[in-house]
Amino acid sequence: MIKLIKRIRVFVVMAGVLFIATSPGRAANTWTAPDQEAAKERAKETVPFVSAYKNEGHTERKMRLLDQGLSLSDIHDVYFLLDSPIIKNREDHYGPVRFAHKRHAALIQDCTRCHHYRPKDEAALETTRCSACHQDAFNSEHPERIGLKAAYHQQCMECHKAEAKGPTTCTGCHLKNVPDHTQLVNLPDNADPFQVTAECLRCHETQGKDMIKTAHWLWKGPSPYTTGHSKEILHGKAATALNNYCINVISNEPRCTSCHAGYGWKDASFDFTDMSKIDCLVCHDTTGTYKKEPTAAGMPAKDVDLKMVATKVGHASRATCGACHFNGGGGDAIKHADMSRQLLTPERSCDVHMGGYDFSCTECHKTRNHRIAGRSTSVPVAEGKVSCQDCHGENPHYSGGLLDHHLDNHCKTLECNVCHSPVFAKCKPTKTYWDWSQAGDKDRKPQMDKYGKPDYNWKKGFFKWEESAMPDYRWYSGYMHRVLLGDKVDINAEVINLTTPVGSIKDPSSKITPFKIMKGIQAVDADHDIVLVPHLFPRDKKDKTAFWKNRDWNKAFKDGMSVAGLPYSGSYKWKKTWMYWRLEHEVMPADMALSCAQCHESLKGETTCNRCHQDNRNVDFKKIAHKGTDFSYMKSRGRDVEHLINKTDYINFKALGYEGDPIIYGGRFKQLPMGYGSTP
Amino acid sequence: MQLSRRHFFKIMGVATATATVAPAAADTWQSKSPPDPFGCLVDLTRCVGCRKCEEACAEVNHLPTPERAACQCTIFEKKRRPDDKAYTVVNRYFTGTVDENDTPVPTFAKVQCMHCQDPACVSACIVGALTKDETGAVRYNVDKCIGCRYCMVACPFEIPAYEYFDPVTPRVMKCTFCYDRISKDGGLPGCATICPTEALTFGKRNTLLNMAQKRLTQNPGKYIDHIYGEKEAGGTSWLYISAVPFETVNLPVLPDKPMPKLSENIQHSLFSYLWSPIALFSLLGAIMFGTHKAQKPKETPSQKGGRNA
Amino acid sequence: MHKPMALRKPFWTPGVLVMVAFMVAGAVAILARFTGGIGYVANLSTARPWGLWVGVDVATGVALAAGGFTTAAVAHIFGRHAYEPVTRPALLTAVLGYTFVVLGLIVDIGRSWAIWKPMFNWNTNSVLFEVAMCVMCYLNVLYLEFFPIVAEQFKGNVNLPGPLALLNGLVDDILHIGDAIIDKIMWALIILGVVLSCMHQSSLGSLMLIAPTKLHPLWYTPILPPLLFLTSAFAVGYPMVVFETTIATSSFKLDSEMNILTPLTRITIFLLGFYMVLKIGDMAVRGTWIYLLDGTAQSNAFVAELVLGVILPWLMLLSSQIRASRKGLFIAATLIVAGVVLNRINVFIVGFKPPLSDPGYFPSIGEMMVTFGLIATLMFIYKIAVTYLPVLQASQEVSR
Ligand code: SF4
Ligand code: SF4
Ligand code: SF4
Repeated sequence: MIKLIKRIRVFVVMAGVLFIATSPGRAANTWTAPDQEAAKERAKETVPFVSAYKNEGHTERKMRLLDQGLSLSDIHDVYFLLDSPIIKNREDHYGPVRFAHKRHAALIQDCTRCHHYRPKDEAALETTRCSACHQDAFNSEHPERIGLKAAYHQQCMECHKAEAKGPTTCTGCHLKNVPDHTQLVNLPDNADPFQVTAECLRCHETQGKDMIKTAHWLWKGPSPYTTGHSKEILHGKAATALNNYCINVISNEPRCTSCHAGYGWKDASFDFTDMSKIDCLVCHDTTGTYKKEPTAAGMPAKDVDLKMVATKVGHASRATCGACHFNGGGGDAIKHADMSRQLLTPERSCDVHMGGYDFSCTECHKTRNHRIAGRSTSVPVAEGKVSCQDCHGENPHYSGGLLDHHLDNHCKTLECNVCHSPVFAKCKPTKTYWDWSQAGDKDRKPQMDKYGKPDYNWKKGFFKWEESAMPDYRWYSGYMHRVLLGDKVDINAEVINLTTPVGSIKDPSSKITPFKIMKGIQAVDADHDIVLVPHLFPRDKKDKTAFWKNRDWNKAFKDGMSVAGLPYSGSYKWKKTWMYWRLEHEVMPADMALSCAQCHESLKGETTCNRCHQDNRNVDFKKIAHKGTDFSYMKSRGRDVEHLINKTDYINFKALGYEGDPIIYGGRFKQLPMGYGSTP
Repeated sequence: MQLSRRHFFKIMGVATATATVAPAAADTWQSKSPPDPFGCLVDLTRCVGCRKCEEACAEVNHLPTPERAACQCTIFEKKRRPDDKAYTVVNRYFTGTVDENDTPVPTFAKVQCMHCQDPACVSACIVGALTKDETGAVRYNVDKCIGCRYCMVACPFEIPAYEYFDPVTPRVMKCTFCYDRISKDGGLPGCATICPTEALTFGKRNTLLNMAQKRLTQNPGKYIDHIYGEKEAGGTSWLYISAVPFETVNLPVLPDKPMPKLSENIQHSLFSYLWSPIALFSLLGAIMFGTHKAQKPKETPSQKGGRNA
Repeated sequence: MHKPMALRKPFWTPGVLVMVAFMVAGAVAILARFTGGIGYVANLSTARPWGLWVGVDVATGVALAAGGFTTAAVAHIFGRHAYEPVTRPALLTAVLGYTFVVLGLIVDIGRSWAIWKPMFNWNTNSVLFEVAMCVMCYLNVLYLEFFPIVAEQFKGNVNLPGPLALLNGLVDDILHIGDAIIDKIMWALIILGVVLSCMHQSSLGSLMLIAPTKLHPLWYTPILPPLLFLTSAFAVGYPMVVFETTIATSSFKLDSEMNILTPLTRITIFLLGFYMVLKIGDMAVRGTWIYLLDGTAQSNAFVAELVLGVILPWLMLLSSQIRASRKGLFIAATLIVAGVVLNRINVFIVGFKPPLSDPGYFPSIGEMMVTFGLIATLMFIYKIAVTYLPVLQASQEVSR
């Protein structure tokens, strides 16, 4: 009997169960990520030491296992945390390693590469845990039996090196534990922010030097993925980036730079070479008590106990990254449809990485010398890219099921989250429309929309919100075309695209990619054809030009443009502008991805896969083709997805350049359509 | 000059007796190595150059934290040696091996005191401040040390370092084999506990020798067929096995003979029971006696001869 | 033959002023060593724990003080009383030489205050231990041997300054009693001095036996080093006497004492010849002559040591003309002295090349300041001693 199959564990909890088990009103401190929790519990287990093993040749063992018919679908232990009290016993400098067991199995296709021996006892499991044989090091009875830590390291690193694949450095796998800073930090009780920074720099000068070269500090930097500007290093929020939310930082610094990792960026005179102004705590706070004053150019709120925060510093977390990134555009989830405070304690179904496995942002957004990888579609600056493939590879479907091969083929044409995050703003409504032209009416009463969101604010104008919305799909090669500050636009066009994904159905490297389109109305100089920067936030009490004080667009544009060093003709036009915001987060668990039939109308009827495949094994093709995102269930959980139920044209193939459903009309490169052969 | 004949023969008698016994006693040099010492096997094929051992060593021995380069690659650019601030260092060597992409394959080698079985430093130390312990550890007792640095001259591995910048109480600094830890039951040296790949294996030297031999025989072609330290300098507690020749990772070619053997042999055959000085004293005394006697008729013994001496 | 007596000569000459300048510089460097540490003044390292101070102050110092025991041996043990006039200056050189060896050691060892510890912590395996014990004993023997000279000068006319004058009588008694006791045992002291010298002179050569991989094969010889060091010490003893006597007599304008020096060097032909045979023989037997023409610093230093310091002066001494000429003798003696100095420097510095981590070594200014400062002090005290104590034969009144 195959031992492996017996080892079914209640480890991968079904997502549906979770949906029911979790209620929206959970207190944050009781939140746990279920998969991660289970893995942690598992890592704490110690198993009895196996002293005798069966000594057989490697190939012999491999064949024997293959003969037993073991396959990927027998693997139930998808994920492990490589940790153990045995290891912790000796040192605790590094955090445990996340180990994607099944993925490794799928890649290697040879269990014996790691499970090199089996216990001598015939009744024992064929593939025992590493810690059954490898426990404490330097066991004098088994001198050659290396300890668990060494076993992990030797096994992983040797293979990673041999395959020239996978990390081989310490921090490639581990997160370094931050030492307790209580004794290290030496600050007076009511330390001011600059004293804190000086204290940090006392030991971390190199890090300070690194920090002031980063995009998070300069708000500009390399723009490799912006067409026409890919060799430049001068674009970013602080310089040329435009959007159709708050438009631009210039002349509005004190308000905008409350999200800057520094102190006192009030205007262009801010000294970006001065390390003493770095705000270390905003990213390294672990207490959740550090806050910045919203309008004080990045200074912390008065009531923060800086000394306490400084003694408890740690790695950046979803909370610290989110403090700015969740609040883009002036509030939770407004800008980034797929990021909201919901991600602090997300359900598994909301985001499987953060909700299931408790990922922190930097686990994907790898950080080197304080440069944080990730390319945003909204701003030009990027310091390295992050993609699903970094971890999941080019062939990420390895359930061992019938569909793997088809799904992997889809990966050549689709971005993962086309299927894996079928809706955006799943948990919180996001702004999708913003009309600046209506701003200024202090008397107008805001109406609440169906999500309870206000449609008007006299300072900002008229808005629309969407929740659990269907993305727009475009071909995308990773490059964006952008209108940067000072760029001429076509003033007569119906819509001005501030950002446009660059891609083509003909380009093998372009993939169908989900976007949120942000639509807006903002001002363009009627004579110079450039997008206008308004001076919105009053500099002080005497400010005569700020729109939020004087409600005079002309003055606001004049001031804003002069600070930006650009001409302003004195006449402006309200124009429709669009922006494409790439959706990345809120990845749903695998079994909640879109089904085949939700895009391919041709699979809706009775004939599905059997159009091409023979069904001699009584496979329920229909079930396979229809198993996927359950919108009616989502609706029952209160999501606004009614219109998506029973949808079979999730992707509009014609709009993307296909003749129609590729099953019928052929793929973009494989021109031969699937036939209507005789159905068995 | 008063030297009586009786007196003279007495001295001569003692001298001759000693002279006959002494060389026989000194000729048979005996190794003073402990019977079942601990050891540590360094498998260079396993070392990944993480330098955790350096860190751990510094921590358990209260030495300054080793320099952390922004990236390990820059620290390895210079070859380092153990010094008064670090008992052990890891160096990187490119020995000419390349992988399939023609990238040179590095070999990392940790160096520290080898804890020789018959250590040159112990034999050399003028006051016996260095001793070879039963555990195998070569220990340093700062309370005896006078700072002559002869141990440093003697050590064939160039290990002991000196606190040259301490004007009054400088110490000789070298790996202690974590004596305070390993002398306790189940204790392990700091570096070995932390090594993530068990490139360092701690255990009884004899066990390690067997184990090393097994690794060599079971992986023919992977290792150079030699256990460095099994015989070098009469054997060392720390042992190395490697895929590249040991000279290429700066482990010196040394004779198998224990370093102290020759000098101790010579010293002991010359000086045991002080036979040779006594013999020489007697001989010179005899000559002096003889010459004085011969000259006596000419020169009466006077105060003058003595004063002129 | 004249009776040795104190030279009542003007003390402050320009040469003395130069000495004082060196002494001050040395004092500064020593002060720096005892405040900043050895590393602060010296170029020593892990691979090169011994440098100028051990090579010159100690090893060379000991070698050059060999005049003391060799003249004592020839004059008192072998009964060649004709050589007695040179025993006193040689003894003074030895007393001072060994005193400064110890001073040099105090500067060199890291824990100077612990210098007494070898007396109570014996490691009889250690060559250095043996050297240290011998040097310590020998230094005491030398002081005792020198005591009568002091006593001779001050017995009966002790005149301490100021209030100390109260002690005049006591000190005088001590001088008398001490002199009397030492006179009784002088024979044993003399023999003991020779024995101790033979022991540590040879053992100095054994110091490097334990470091076969570090010392250049031209010098590392597994069996001969004690013998080579001993014979070279024998060989350099008389030339050193010639060297210093010539300098002393010419600078103090005294009799040149050629009548003693010339026959003395006849013995040297034999002693130096023996050393030369051993050295060349050792080279031939071990086949190390293959290194001779390497052109490295080591091989050049060895050739210089052997040719200029041994063979050439030996050939010179064969000629009776040169032996009889003050100048020729002086040159030959100087060459021999220089050869032995170079030998000690070679063994401890030039030829010492640790294969693994040698950073190279050249003495720092600070080290040189200490060494020259100590040498200057030695000469200064020598000058005081010969001025106020009966060491040299003051015969100038006669010769003029
Ligand atoms: S800890 Fe181990 S692997 Fe790391 S450098 Fe030291 S010996 Fe090599
Ligand atoms: S390696 Fe050197 S210091 Fe260590 S025991 Fe051997 S001789 Fe002594
Ligand atoms: S045995 Fe101890 S002292 Fe020696 S290198 Fe290892 S940790 Fe350092």
